[in-house]
Amino acid sequence: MKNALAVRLAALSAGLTLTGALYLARTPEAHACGCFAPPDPTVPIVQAGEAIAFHMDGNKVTAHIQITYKGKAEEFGWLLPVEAIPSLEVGTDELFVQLISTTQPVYRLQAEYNGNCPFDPSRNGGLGGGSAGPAEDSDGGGGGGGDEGYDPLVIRDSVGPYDYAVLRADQKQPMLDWLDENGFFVPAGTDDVVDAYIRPGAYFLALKLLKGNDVGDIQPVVVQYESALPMIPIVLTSVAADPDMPILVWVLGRSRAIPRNFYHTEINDAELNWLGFADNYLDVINRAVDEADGHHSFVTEYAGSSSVMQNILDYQGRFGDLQAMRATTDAINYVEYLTYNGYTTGGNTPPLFQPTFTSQVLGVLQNHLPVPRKILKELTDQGLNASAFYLSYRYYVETDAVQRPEMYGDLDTTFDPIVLTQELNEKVVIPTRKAGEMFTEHPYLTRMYTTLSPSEMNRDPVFSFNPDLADVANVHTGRLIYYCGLIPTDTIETTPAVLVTEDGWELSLPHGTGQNPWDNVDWPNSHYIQTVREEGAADNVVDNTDTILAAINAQNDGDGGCSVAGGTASGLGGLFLLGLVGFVRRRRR
Amino acid sequence: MKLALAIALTAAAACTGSDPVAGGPDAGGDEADAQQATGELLLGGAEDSGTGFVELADGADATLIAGAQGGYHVWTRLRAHLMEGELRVVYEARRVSDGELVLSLPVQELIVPHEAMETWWEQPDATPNFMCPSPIGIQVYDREIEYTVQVTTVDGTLVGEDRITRVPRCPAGDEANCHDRCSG
Repeated sequence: MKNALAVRLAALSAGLTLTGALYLARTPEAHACGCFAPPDPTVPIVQAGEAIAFHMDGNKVTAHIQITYKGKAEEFGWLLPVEAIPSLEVGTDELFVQLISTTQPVYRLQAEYNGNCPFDPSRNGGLGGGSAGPAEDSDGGGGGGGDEGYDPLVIRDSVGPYDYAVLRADQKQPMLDWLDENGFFVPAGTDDVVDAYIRPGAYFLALKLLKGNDVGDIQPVVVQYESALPMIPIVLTSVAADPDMPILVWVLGRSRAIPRNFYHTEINDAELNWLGFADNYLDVINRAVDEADGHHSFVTEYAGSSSVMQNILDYQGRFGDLQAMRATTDAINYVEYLTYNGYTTGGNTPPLFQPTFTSQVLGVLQNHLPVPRKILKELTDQGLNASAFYLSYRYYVETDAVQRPEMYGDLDTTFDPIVLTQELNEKVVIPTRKAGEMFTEHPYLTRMYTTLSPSEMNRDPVFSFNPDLADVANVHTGRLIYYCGLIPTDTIETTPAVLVTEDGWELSLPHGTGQNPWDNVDWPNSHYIQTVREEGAADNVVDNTDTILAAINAQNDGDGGCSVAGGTASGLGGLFLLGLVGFVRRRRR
Repeated sequence: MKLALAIALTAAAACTGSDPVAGGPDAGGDEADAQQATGELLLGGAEDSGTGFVELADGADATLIAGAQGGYHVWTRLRAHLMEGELRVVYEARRVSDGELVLSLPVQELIVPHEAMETWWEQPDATPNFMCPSPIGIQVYDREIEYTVQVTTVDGTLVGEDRITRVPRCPAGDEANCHDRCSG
């Protein structure tokens, strides 16, 4: 207990914050096909949290853990309980950038036009020229104190920017004392929650930054350890977690992964703001998982082939010829070689759809070809970073430095290409290729998401597999059916419409999309709360179908629509409705 | 106490095939199940430390061993005969009372040396059969659990199979935490 307060505790598994960046589509765009597709599905909602990608090989679990930490470098610390002495490597941020981008949930609406809609993009002009029936159907998409002489230390080593130690976990106080004495930050409260992990023969992996490294040098770690199943030691995290902390997990394997000891939630997709491309998605998930017992539940956001991630990280020819790089002594040529040979990322991914150097590459370049201090400040003031400098290195060095020499007093283009190439190989090339190999070695990828507050972090989620469960697409498509009548007098915002969610809920919009009456409906945020076993279908513990249906009927009735059992929008398409007929249909699941 | 239990387990007779429980591997009609195993397999346990080979009797107690990450497992260890080479192992555990699957481990690799063709070969390391946290709603401690192991070739041909019923017990002194994690 001596270090409970006296020691400034840091973030172990907890104090570190691991970031799960979630991206949601928001910006609508009308396409000629009648679809709203997100041209820039990247308006990201970034929150601190945990992002982990697991895969299993026999009885070994490999965990790629993205670490995002806000605080002083000397206060960065991290602690992971493991069954046996783990192996440790550095990982790559790009893995998470690409995983997040490729498997992110996307909600989009496909527009359909009934009657004479002047805003129908397929309309040729003139009365009666509009489409009378629904546009092409969508299938919902797919996405794609210890004993005298007792020494808890087993291993002390370094990897990448990290100083790490493997400590015996059979006695708590010697382990905590060792961390304290050796400058490993331990967050307040760890003393209590660590008890559950104190076991004979077990170990803790502790991490801190090596001297000379800054927070910006933090990169993901890859930890491999013996374990029967992947697990997140979230109880340890509780000592320094934020409320509703996001937890984003990918599991690679032979089949769909499941939360073994957490519930599984399918959300009420009528609660999503479809008209805003589900910009309330995170709030809905947060409320939905809180409806499960203990608030312990995950939502599956993607389950399907891992081929969606193949050849993204380790595509043929990426990283060029290292031998050629070692022989390149001109800094401009060297940096441009990096630009053209895959040391950048994001050219085809959100948020910017333009290349940028990864944080690992930037870290290495900064050590060898640093950005002039005044230029870096100027870029920072413009909301940019060092990547902008290196992407236009020739311009900055050959032109701007000549025009504004006062800005480049510390410009240094001398470097050792052999040392730089070696560092890039170790920190970028090898980790990225290894990360890419996961997706060829393991055929199935599952993405799960939840949020947990510290008081809810009393159970460590364990993941296993169920080969009987169906795939889950990350791309979701609803339908927005406009009813224009014979004589078009309404704008697109005031034209009565029906929104049909992917799950088949039909939500009437009698005054058009400009007035959404569905914003504050009192209904559950979860459609189903389920237990999912390692075989068979999910069992519904809670089925909110009737409650949601009743709420929709009440809302439709109260807003000038009328509830009509059965029927579909497409079945009414030829009537050229002058008023809106609201009705509710539930698709059989 | 643990030693006494281990001795008791060691003294117990080797397991023989018991009736499959509802929904067990034999009920599923898997391709491997329909085959006749060409080799012999003996599913045993290990000391609480994970060392040694403990022959088991149906219905014997099995200590739930606390793992480093807060879970609990029971040890299993294999002895194999009349098989060799690069093989695959599938572990499964079901609650006897209702056939509920409580464990289906990812397929593991097993390299069996040639000596197993002539004499019984023992797996060098025990395998932790993950029990807890148990699936939601499924208590595993103090319940009969049938453990099944199948060894196949890489292409799925069954070469050995064994099963045994054990009753996982929470370790003395750790009941509260164990009950919490193993009660579903």
